[in-house]
Amino acid sequence: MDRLVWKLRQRRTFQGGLFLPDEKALTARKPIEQLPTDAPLDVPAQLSPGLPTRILVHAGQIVAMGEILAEAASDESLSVRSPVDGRIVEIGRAWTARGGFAPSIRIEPAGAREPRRALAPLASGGSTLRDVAELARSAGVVGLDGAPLHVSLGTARDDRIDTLIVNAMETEPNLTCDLRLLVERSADLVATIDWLAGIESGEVFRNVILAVALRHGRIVRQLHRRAAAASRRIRVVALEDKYPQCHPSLICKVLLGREPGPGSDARELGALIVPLATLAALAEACEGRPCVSRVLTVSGDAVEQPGNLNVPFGTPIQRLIEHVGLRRRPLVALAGGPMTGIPLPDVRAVTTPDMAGLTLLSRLPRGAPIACVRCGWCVEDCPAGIDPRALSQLELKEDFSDSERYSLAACIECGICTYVCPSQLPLAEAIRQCRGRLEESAAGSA
Amino acid sequence: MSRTAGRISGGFSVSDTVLGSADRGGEAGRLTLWAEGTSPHIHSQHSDRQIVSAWTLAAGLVACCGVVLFGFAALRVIVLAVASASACEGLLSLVTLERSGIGARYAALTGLLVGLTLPATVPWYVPCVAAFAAVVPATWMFGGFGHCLWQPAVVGRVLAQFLFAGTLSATSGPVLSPGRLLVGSVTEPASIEMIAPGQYRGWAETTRGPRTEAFAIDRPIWTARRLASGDLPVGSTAPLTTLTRDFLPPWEDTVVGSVPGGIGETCTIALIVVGLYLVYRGYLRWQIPIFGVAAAAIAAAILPIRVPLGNGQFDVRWLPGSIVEREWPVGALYVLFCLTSGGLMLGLFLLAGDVLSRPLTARGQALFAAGIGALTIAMQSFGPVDTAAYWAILIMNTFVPLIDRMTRRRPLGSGYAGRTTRLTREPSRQVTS
Repeated sequence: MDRLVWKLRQRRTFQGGLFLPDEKALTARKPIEQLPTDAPLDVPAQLSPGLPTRILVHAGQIVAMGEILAEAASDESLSVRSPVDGRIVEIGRAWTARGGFAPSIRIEPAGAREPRRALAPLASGGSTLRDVAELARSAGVVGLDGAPLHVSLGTARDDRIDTLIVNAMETEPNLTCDLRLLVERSADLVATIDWLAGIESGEVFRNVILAVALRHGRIVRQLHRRAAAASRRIRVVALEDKYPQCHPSLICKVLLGREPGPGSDARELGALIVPLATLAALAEACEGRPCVSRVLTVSGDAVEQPGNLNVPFGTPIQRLIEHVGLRRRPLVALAGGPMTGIPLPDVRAVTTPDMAGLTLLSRLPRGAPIACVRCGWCVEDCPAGIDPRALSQLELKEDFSDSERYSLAACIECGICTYVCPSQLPLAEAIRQCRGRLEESAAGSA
Repeated sequence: MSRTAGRISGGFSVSDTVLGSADRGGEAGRLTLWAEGTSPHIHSQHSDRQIVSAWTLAAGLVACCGVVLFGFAALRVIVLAVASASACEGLLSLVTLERSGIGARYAALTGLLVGLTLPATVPWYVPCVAAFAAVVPATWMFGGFGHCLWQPAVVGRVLAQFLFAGTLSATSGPVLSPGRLLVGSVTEPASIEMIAPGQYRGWAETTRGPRTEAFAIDRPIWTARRLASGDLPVGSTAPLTTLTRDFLPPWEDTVVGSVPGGIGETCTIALIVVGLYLVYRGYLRWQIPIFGVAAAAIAAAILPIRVPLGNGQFDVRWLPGSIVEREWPVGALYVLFCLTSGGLMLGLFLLAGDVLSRPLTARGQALFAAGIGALTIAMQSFGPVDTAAYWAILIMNTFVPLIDRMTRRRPLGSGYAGRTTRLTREPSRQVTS
């Protein structure tokens, strides 16, 4: 009865959004598997675009797992560590989803390896914000959208941040890596949240929230139990798994009652949003293991044996495809899920820390676009409250009015407008192009 | 590599996986794109074709009911309207060399809707001209499918009303008698029996003579206009009781549809059923029929009736919906009759909800439908035109851009006090070097 009441309780949600057919059943019950490191890796020399590094190694050098391959060139940047024991083959270039071609270090793995402690483990409890930031920096932990975590932690005081939100929503279709982390490592994860909540005896993050999807009832109950046993107060909040609830702006809107303005982020509201994968990396770092791999979901209708794999950074997706096998000929490979994933141009593209999945689709459903019939579905389902139909018609326009600029900036690029459009209009793409033009003109005038 | 062999089925090996390109190149610099396109890479699989087909199915069901009620003559009108609309569309696409499957489907739907608004007794050229007007001036001159301001079928009907006012504004009309449904004829004058107001006791109670196929009574909408203008001798003691007893068909008749009127206008039950179907399919929001009917009911309950006192004087009675005579709430009956007697139901369920000419948001549609309902009742009773519901739709269609402006949603992140918007900053949260 309690469970029924809990299920039926009115929940805070947002206007718009959709319950998508999300294909998570393909991988939701597949345990996380370690991808064998028996093929060469192309480790990108930057963990994410915009983090400058200096490459320290040269071809022919033998490296150990966790050894620094490229050191951070600025305070805000992160060093890149070797995911395996092996030999450097060459310094070349590899394709990354977010950064395009980037310098990479090709490593030939040498035999099996054991996960090794490469960092000095941090004493739990009583640590300061500075210690945590230093640990995140040395372990190479990236946060939201590939931004380095230690930077946001370091400025937490200046930004007057008092809320920590761990985002385990994962409403993107096909992806289940966060779900599997919650299933298999919930004790570790809650302990890490507890540890973060206790930084400087709880003075930094006064409000700690773990956002999970409502429909995974068993996991939510388990997390509630674990959170109750924790030393600090951790709120486990189950939210409707309506896409795109996982977006940081909508997490803020639902949990904090208001959302950051266009072009701004959650720190404006005093909140630090941490993806679950980042938290998992931090948990590893606490035990002395640097962040050199991540769990990602390989899924899609073209995949023979979809699953969740723990994959070292720099693994070519060809290796992943070989591991899972193909059922059909894929037409497109996406870094991420099918709604927001970035198409990868070639099987030699490599995995990066912010890549939560690889989706291989054998069908591209969109037909030829015809005239808009004004059905209003894009307006109704838009989580950002804008009119994608009107904005997509601005493509040819030279100058934008204020409200148009505002709406363009408010778009969170969730792709729902294109998804629902019965006229098959590429609305999201048109808005993205207009945004690009708006940013160009802003950069030109500045 | 050794693991792969067992894992691959369906004849694909990993070496085949460079997709869409035979040239894989040896160097990292020569990558070829797998597939163009940006996210999202899945689609809801809804299409315009489905919307138009569902709408055609709904209108077709109402047309079937109309054919049962009005016989072969109704079928003739509908076929003529659909054929002429499709022919116009075909000719235009020949002339402009623009071929669109959805345009042809929509033209056929427009013809069907035009047919539904017309009575079964009209001469052959009326549906042809109305359908022509709906397709050529009302759709193509606005730029074809997807660009019209006014609902095309309604425009066709209203233009036909101007051109053929004589046939379309008749004060009475025929209905097939019981036992002659579907097979009888409403067009042969010899087989139609006229029944004067006062003698009519309802469709089911009508007894017919040997040669009678149909009987003609006053159109309910005409009675409504006479009542509003004070022309109806209802007596001042219990006017609404007299009205419902002597001048109107029983309320069941207006709900089932066995009253004179347009082919698709009269059968309220069928319209509600197809409306529920469209709501279920998700192509019609419930706000349109519900708010439209509610606003019309409120307007009918408030707007006055004029009861003649005999010497050229009127007793103007407001709030007729609240009238109770002899402990019988005839006011409610009067309201029901106002709702079901004209083209309002057809307008709300099939014409106003048409995707091309309705407002975008649910709130906007509620406002739009409420406007249609209230205007229909007002014009039905006091307006200068005969096709009040259709005029109301056209008037509200005109306001659609304004309604869309008024009911815009608040963009995410806007509207908080003291918020300064940093529009020039890069919107994505990517860290730049």
